[in-house]
Amino acid sequence: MPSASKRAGAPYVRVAAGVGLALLCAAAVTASSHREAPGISKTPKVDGTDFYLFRSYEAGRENFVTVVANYQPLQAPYGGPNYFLLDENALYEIHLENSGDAVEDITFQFRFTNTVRDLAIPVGPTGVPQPIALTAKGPVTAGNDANLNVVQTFTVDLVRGDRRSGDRFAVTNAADGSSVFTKPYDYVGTKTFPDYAAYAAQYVYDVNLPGSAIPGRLFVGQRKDAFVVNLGETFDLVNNNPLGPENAKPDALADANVTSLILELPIGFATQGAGPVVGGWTTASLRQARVLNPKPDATRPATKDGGAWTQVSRLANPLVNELVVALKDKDRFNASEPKDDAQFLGYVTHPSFPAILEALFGVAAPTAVPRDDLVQVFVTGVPGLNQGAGVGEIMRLNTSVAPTPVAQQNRLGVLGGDLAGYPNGRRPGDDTVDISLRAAMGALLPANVAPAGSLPLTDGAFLDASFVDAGFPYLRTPLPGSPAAAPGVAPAAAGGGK
Amino acid sequence: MTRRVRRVGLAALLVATAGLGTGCGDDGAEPVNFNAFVKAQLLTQSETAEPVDVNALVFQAAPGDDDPAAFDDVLGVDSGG
Repeated sequence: MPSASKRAGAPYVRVAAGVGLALLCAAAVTASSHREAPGISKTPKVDGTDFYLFRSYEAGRENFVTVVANYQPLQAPYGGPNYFLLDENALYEIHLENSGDAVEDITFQFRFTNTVRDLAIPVGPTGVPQPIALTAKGPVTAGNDANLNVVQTFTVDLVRGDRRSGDRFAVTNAADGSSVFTKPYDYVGTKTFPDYAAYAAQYVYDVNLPGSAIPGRLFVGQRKDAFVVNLGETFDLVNNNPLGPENAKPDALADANVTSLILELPIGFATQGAGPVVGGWTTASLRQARVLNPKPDATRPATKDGGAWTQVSRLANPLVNELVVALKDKDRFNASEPKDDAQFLGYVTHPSFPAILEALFGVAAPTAVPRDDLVQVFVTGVPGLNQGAGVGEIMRLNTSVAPTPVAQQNRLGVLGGDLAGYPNGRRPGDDTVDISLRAAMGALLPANVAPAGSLPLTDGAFLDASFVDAGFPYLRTPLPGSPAAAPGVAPAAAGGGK
Repeated sequence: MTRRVRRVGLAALLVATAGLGTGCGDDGAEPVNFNAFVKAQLLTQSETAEPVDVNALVFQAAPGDDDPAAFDDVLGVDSGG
């Protein structure tokens, strides 16, 4: 009998018609940031890129928290004709923890359905209706999407307790009680969507939250990626001067969109009365097996998926899986749960990144190991700030800290004296790359054990609150895929920022 | 779900389970029929099931597994069409 490897090489299996199987290993994987792990780079639709959790700073919404989970990295706005629909065969989740055990107490589950309308256009003298090949056959506006050929809808379930076996309730539209929501189509361009902002705004929903007398808000759709980073040079052995100006380098994501799942929840709902600290993270899961269909058609899709939901992406604090967890364990991290994070603790207590910076630039890494300061930031919470959501790598927000008005927000968060910012939760305008660089080199440690701890380390790509909106959904209208910019000219920014 | 698919799924599950139950090698690896295992997976659409740990499994082929139509039943396509 042939071995497993020989079996996998059988002609039928090797060719598309054969069974292309994606058996997702049960014992490994989760993802954070953009394409940060080998496994998740193969399935970008379920690649979590950023997670935000903050007290709403929109005027009049101070009694709410906003949660943002971004997916599908590095979306070129012109990436048609299929653009960036979320995966119909995936389960996207946002988890909240408020009982101090790093295990989810509330989970929001997002499931998506694509409907191809198969719009037709008359062809030839007799006007034979011919189905179109593109996304739309004419302009699409707020209140009239009849020209749109593909519609993506979704449901949101609230699960109390274990994410798989807990009690499940539907989140419903406060306006009509429906449990089916629409995700606006991606910003194809200004001819298809003459006023994309107005078109997308109609899909901001007031929603009934089971167990809450106060409604929340919901939006799922494409946004301009709010993350700012000097990506290329950072990964090229930090090929820039980390002590240079804070705004001298381009943002590698300046021309990239992302897909956002955004919820606004009453504070009391998020904390469930269990104390002011709420923890959060996002995950995405796929069915454990996937078989390629050698004969796909209009009703039988290109793949068939089955098996248990298997987690392939996990994200809370930025850059953890990207820069802290070793390459060999990144897939394992993505498949893991916060309650089991003791297995990764060594990467936090004895981080490699400060040592690399020291070797490259001569800036001394902290001598105080194990790094209890980083353990507090990532794993336990910082005493007096946001402890109280259990032990595990999750985002922690102390909701008793009042939100800082947008004009007064400090882009360095707590390091800049703004206790409403990262790592007390994370706002879209927090420059977590610069914060993380400084924290890694000992900004939270005494100078005698962290000689570089007070240096203004930076990747050179600047971010502050002016890069995002002052109200829900905070992340800005995505960049249009058309018209094309003139050669050598950067794509038109979606607005604001530098 | 058609009756035929249901029968195939049950058979697949039985075959896969039989493999799990009979064949631990010296290194602890457990031989499992690949196609049967996959078919059993595809027929599972549970919201509550936990993933199967595949690290200890060694997938093996059975006669007929190389048939290009081996998965047509679970894919819902017409054999030979």
